[in-house]
Amino acid sequence: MRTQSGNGELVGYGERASDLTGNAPVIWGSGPYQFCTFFNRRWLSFAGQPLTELQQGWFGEVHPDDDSVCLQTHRRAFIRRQPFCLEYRVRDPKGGYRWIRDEGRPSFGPDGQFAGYMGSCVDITRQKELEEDLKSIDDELVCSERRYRAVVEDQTELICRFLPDGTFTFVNDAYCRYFGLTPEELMGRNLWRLISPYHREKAREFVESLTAEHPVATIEYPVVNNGEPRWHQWTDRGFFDEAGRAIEFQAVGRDITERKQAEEALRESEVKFRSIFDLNIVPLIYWNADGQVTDANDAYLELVGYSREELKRGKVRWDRMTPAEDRHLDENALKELENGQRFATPFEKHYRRKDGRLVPVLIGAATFPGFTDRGVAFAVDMSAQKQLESELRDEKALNSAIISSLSGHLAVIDRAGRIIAVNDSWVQFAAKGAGAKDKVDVGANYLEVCAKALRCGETTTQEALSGIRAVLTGGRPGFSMQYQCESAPVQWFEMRVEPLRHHEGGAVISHIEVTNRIRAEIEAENHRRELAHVARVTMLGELTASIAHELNQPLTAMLSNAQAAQRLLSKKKNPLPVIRDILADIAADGRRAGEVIHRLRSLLEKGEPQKAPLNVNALIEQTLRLIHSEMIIRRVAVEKQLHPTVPAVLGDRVQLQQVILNLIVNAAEAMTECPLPERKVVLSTFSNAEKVGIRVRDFGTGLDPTYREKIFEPFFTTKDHGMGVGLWINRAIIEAHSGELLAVNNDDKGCTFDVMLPVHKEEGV
Amino acid sequence: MSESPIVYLVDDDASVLRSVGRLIRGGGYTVNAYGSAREFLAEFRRPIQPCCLVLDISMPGLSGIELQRRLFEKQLDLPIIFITGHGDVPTTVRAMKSGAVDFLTKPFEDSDLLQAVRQALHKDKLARRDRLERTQIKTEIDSLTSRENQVLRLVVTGMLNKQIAGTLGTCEKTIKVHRGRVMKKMQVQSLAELVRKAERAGLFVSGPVAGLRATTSQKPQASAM
Repeated sequence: MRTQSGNGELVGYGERASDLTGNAPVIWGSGPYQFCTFFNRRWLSFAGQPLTELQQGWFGEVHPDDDSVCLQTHRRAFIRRQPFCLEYRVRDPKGGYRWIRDEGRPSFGPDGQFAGYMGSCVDITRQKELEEDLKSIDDELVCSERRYRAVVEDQTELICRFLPDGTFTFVNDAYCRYFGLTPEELMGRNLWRLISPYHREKAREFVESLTAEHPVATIEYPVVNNGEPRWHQWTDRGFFDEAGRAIEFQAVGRDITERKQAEEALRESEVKFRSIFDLNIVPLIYWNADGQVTDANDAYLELVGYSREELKRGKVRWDRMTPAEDRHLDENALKELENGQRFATPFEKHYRRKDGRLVPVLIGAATFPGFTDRGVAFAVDMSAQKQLESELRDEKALNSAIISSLSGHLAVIDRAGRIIAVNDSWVQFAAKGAGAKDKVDVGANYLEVCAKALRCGETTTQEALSGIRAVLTGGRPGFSMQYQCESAPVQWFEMRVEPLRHHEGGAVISHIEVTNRIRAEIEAENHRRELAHVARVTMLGELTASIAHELNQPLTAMLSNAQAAQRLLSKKKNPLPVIRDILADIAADGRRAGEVIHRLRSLLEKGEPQKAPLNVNALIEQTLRLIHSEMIIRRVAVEKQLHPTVPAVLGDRVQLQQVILNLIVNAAEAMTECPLPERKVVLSTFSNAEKVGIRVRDFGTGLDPTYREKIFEPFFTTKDHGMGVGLWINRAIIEAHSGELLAVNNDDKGCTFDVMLPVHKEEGV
Repeated sequence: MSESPIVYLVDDDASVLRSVGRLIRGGGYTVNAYGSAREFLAEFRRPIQPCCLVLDISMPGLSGIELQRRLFEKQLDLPIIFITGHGDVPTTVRAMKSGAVDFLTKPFEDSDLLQAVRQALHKDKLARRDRLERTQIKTEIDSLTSRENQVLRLVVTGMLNKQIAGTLGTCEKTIKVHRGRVMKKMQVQSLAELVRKAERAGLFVSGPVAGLRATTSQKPQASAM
């Protein structure tokens, strides 16, 4: 192609060409639209019209026969970015028409963007005659167009051109493929419709932002294609006319969804990391292998005692903060990272803070992807941890010292009953019972070795096991029992089971020998019983007169009856009917005397306490029979207000009788000074669901407030006679019955003693 | 058997009451038995025939000793034989001082009881006679005029007629007439007899002659010195 590039000299208004027939061609240029944007002088001299007019088109000068083909050719060329070559006749100002060949080629910017046309018009009036010569030039042009077209069509990028109103003027195959539409379907349609309403405005704004000064810009935005969210990047170029008005736009786009997603993920992870970084929960740094801390969060700075200012000035270096003896740890970690490990094995080392203090830290380092000599690292302050560890160690040492120093046998078991810790004392104790063949220390199942280790009977073992299980399952907050060890001499142990305050449960079991305590308890109990007996005997001693009277009555009756019978036998003729009555009376009186003796003997006996269900009303009646005479002698009236249906209590008849007897006698004694009509003891019984009460009320002088607290003390007495153990024994007896003995002064006269005993509940009820 | 003496028996012990009752009845007496002192006190009226009381000391409510006191207060005194299961000394002394016939400790022999009953009934018989005599003397004294009464009271002190006339401000002859009338009304022959009756009537317990009695009672005291 024999084109001649213009000299680039732009022509001004009013300049004219002198000769169109010369060899110099007319050079024109256009924007992306088809209007010419410049001509050289040659064109002006040829056209003889000012530029403004020319820009309206030169069609006026075109030969009417060539007008339409000229216009079509131009338009088609522009739309397709095709070079064109057109021959047509232009009116010669000098008269007549001259043939010109108008050639135009699209020009592209360095980035391949269409920039318009550069063209030339050559007077071919003469050449027309030489068509044969020109034929080859035409062929070349066709080939070039094809090549160019192929290049554009083969682009994977989406390319389109559109008018400012959005009408497509060009789409490439990729564009069509991407949107799933044919070029025919797209051409002439509106671009904006393809863009989702959401982004349409934004896209429009973007296109409108292009100006003649800044005709090219790139935008990225999300779109929805076939219901799938995608990211697009569009590089748009605007073509503007002389006045800066947009003529056409060209858009080159590509789908950047994958890149965008990768970017998004990266940004997200960056944001996440940064937020962790800035959260200052964990001291974090960016490091490099040179020993530099390139960035650090406040937590880290606080840990090492440096300021952010010092960090910025590069004063914070992890290598310098590491004491010499820990350097090898850092080196090991760096080696791991150099060898391609993304994360170095976390390790403990020390930092020397700015203030010189050493801080234990746990370091974990990782490299940035693609690097082995830089990355991020955390440094956790281990001071508290170390402190705790040290304390725990101390505590453990202390605990084990305590445990091993205990003389009691101690075993700690887990939830399943397996022994997890024992003291020496336990091992020795249990081994003795279990013999050498069973393992009794750590690892053994306590529940299995229990029977042998305890050396006690089946019942005891069962009780112990169920107690331990109850504590292990949380059924009981604790458990303790005493058991007798089958050894010689007999040993008593107390087993205590405490739940282990451990998240996995378990229990602490201790066995403490309590033989001495049990012995002391038994001895104390014996003493108490003996004292109670002594008190009982003493009391009966004081009641001798009335007891004698009790016996005297039946004896008197028997004697009198017998003598009356003798007299009858010597006098009367048929005394038998009367004698029969007399004998019956004598027998009855004999039994009566026997009962008195029996009652006395039971009180005088020193038997083991025997607990049985008792009716307190019956108990009171029996007691009253014993002191019937005493009350008469003392001139004290007895009033009974017994509740007819009191529940039974579990108790020892003799001991409870002793208490009631003592309280009644005390009540009678308290009224010795009272005028006769006032001497009265009121005995009443009452009950609720839990307790049965026996109340002994007198109308005597009442309790001296000075002695109120002392009356239950042993050997305290306000009487001239007596040991002063009565009330003390009473209370001991009642407490041994799990009851209470209470004393209060009455509002009017005398005082009231209440014996409160628990209601006896049948087993299993 | 309305003529046979009545023995009252009080004991709170039914068995004792029955057997002792049988015993006394065996001795040939009518027995009225009571289970409490209060019951007896409510029902007791002195019978015509001699009677006595066998009484238990220790009883709930009114005791034997208290019953004795009540009877005395009511001037229903009858011989009492106390029976007791426990004979403590103070009680015994108090009972005997208050005029108990006997004090038997349970159990007792039938002979002791019957003996005591016999004594008590005899005592009651004497007391009954004494009461009768005193009633008669009282009637005789009541028949005297007030002047005669005055004269009687002075005569029994041993005053001569002349002294009495002096005391009363009259003449010896008038006194002599009064004195003769007193002797007649009182159905006595001698002064000694009159004095005995006056004493039985208790004229010496009070009255202007009390001082004299005091003087006479000083005598044994003086001799003891």
